[in-house]
Amino acid sequence: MKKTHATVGTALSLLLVLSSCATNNNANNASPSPTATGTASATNSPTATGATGTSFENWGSYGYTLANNRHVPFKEITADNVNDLGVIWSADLKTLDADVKNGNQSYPVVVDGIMYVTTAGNQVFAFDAATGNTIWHWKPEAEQAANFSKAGIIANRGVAVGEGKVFMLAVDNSLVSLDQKTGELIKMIKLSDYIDGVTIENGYYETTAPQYYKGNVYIGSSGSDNGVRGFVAAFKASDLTPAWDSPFWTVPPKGQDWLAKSAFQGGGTVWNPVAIDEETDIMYFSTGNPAPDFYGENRPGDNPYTDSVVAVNAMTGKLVWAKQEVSHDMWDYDAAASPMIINATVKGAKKKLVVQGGKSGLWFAWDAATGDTVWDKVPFTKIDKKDPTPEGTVSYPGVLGGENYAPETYDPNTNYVLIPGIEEPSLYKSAKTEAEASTPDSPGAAAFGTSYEAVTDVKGYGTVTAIDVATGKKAYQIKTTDAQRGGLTSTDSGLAFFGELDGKINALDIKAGKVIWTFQTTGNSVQAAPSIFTVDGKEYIAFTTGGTKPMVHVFGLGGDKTQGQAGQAETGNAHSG
Amino acid sequence: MKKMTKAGLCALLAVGITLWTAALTDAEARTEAPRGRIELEQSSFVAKSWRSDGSHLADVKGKLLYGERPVANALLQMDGKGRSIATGEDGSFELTVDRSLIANKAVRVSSFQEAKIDGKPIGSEEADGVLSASSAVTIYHPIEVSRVEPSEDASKVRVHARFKLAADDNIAFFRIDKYRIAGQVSDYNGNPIKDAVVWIDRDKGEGFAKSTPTDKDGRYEMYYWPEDEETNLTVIVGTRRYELPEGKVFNLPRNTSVDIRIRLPKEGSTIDDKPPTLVCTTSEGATYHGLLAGLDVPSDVPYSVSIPDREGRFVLTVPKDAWEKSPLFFETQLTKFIGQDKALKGGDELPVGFVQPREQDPRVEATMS
Repeated sequence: MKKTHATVGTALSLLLVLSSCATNNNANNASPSPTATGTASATNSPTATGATGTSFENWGSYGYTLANNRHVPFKEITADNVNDLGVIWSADLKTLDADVKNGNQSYPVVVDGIMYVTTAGNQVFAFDAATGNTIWHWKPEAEQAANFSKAGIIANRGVAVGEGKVFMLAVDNSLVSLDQKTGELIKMIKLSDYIDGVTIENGYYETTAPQYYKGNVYIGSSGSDNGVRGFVAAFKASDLTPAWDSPFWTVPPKGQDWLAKSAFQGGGTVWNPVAIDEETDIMYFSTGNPAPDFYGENRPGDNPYTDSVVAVNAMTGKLVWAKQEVSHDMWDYDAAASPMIINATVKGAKKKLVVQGGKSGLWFAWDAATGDTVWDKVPFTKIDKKDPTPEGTVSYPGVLGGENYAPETYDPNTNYVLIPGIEEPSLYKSAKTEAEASTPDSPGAAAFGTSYEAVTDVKGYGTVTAIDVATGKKAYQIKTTDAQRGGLTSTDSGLAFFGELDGKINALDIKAGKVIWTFQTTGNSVQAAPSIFTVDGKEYIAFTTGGTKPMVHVFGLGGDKTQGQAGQAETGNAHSG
Repeated sequence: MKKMTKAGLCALLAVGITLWTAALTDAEARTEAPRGRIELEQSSFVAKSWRSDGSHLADVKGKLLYGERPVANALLQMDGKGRSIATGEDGSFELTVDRSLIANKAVRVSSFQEAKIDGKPIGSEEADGVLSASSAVTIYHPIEVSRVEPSEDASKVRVHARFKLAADDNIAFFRIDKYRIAGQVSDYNGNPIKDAVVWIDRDKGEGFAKSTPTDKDGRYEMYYWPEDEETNLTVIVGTRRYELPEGKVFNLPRNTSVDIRIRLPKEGSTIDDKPPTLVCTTSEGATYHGLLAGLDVPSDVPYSVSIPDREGRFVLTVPKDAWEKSPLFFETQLTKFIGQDKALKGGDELPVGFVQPREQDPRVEATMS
């Protein structure tokens, strides 16, 4: 295995010496930027940016393009040669910096031969995508990082790149912009300076990747289960000032409308990246569950717009349409994963759709322009939903889903959407009714303590389900050992790549529905989908692994085939809605 | 019915007086220069509760003028932290007002670097005038006074008032928002531990709260709304984590603040879940949040106000002379921990000085019914 980590200092010195080149203004396009495209003559000499190679096909944003459909047009890696895949380079992030935290969920973004990877604890690494050389590395000041632990979850799902900057949301509700070439901090804002109350103390935290589009950075947040008010906001990439007059709030303010009776209120957070239709400027996003999660009496009605997919004009922040997947949720069934915008064939005709699979175990397709339902409530897990009682009832899916944050992919050749699923029930216990609960008459009395937890003895597993968009029906489903927490990415050669919680990665023959290649990485807990890109025409597949060994693994044909030890599946709380 | 004046009148008057004074000074020095002006087609809005169709949002057009001439390509900002709003060739601009949240937001010129008047960049003579342009957007609930009656204390009156809400508005007033989980972390010998963090997270489901790091006395606190919870309980000290015994969960009672005293084990990482190593008691108080009204009077005027009831009715007990000066009301969204045993509810009187106005709170002249 090739290990070529230049020190940050060396890389920075190099950058100071080398002349700068023009930056890519909108890196979200999967195509290479004009300034970076060139002849393929100097294959191994670094460019002015520190990247090896001269021609690049980018993985420009969280979901490949802003449509989030995770399908690349590359065909070098096929079912016939997939066994020649091996590790081109890998990086152990904790070795690079001891302050990197466990539990990585980073979706790499690759622009003009440079890969941007975030870590739990909000560090950012820029690697030469073809060699793994560290070009730059940014980490928050220790004083700021110390605050991160106040949030329960410190995972991060990646960056947005645009206007020569790299944008990241930090867990303490900061928005960071870094110089794309040097990694130097350009600006950091506290969201609470612009959006009242967005603080860790109030239950907000940030794990999602931002998106860059037409001069704006679009963000959501986490914290539904803590009772915060969900929103999407737009900031100007130039100076991180607001781009809209108000965030788009997904639920009422405290004390209004369906939250008028409930005290601990809110939900509807947008904790995964928005998808944006560049032809219409409409953005689409998924929203989390209402709060309180399991006590619904004081939040009457459908609780709009929780557990929904919402379409909003990205330029104005105004509502276009919204569709709810679960009304009056009592099971923590967020619409978690980012929606995809796909041009698919439906009943013989091409149609632009927005599709999304929820933690409810149900998959939906809507007309992108109108929100009209195309396919409704297509099940991809066992569905057995019971009303929670104080004693507890077992329902399928459980609190992890369904489909959690892991994104789907769409393969236009088969017209299949592939859904990463979790097949695991939960015991749902509702809070007691208002009548049974009362303020204790004698404060100070020992009124509570511990008990043995109720156990559901059903071992969960994962699934990958192919939905034929033409018919809205399941084409096939395969089982995986552990819950699918990372997501899938497909190629034009008919393969879909996905990882597992024991650190294995797989290639699925999409048409056949069969896993045709498996590789045990030296990491554990794949909790993000791979990013696929090319440098000088060579196709690379980048995975991050999380768990206790946060790493980056980049595969290509002819790479090192030495495999690692099977990792320990991380089945704990990886969610952050 | 007495006509209602626009909310924020006081603030606007103050701005007006300042501008007038400044203009006088100016006039003494040289001939009077035109002043900048921000004209809004509507600046005062009756609050309207959130609607899922977005109809609580209002688009407002405006114009930036210097004298009677439009100022093009200037940047305006609402509330000192909003979007930079560029003016068009005719000085026009548009902004969106969220009517679901009460507010008094100034609209000011934030930059005129690229601005032009009659196609020419703004010179130093015009700069002050353009920068002085100001307006405000106010969103408020109308307040109606139904009766004023003598108080038991003859120097005071009791003023019965109410927030007038639209029939289809569904708004709750000041009430409990969260409960406090507080307590102490100590070592096996009972010595307080500093900088420990206590973390509760839902056992079956998601949601969590993390405490402040413990102080020198080992005290921590966090605010949470327990749903009659079964949670995990974790104490983090540096890199060490202490947890409940395997298979055990913590039962948080509903509708009460709690005190959890934790004594860490001598060895290992398992908290012995029995007194005296884990002592759990209910405790007083809660954090309250919501809409309250008060009087825009000097802070040394002692008056009290009650929490609005479900219909938005509240009572003020005010010194007679202060009331006779016809003070404006203010409206505010307040969040505060109140450490008393009995839960506060609509109709309960809040202590004198409890509700204080802030700059961003709308001022309202009440109508008499």
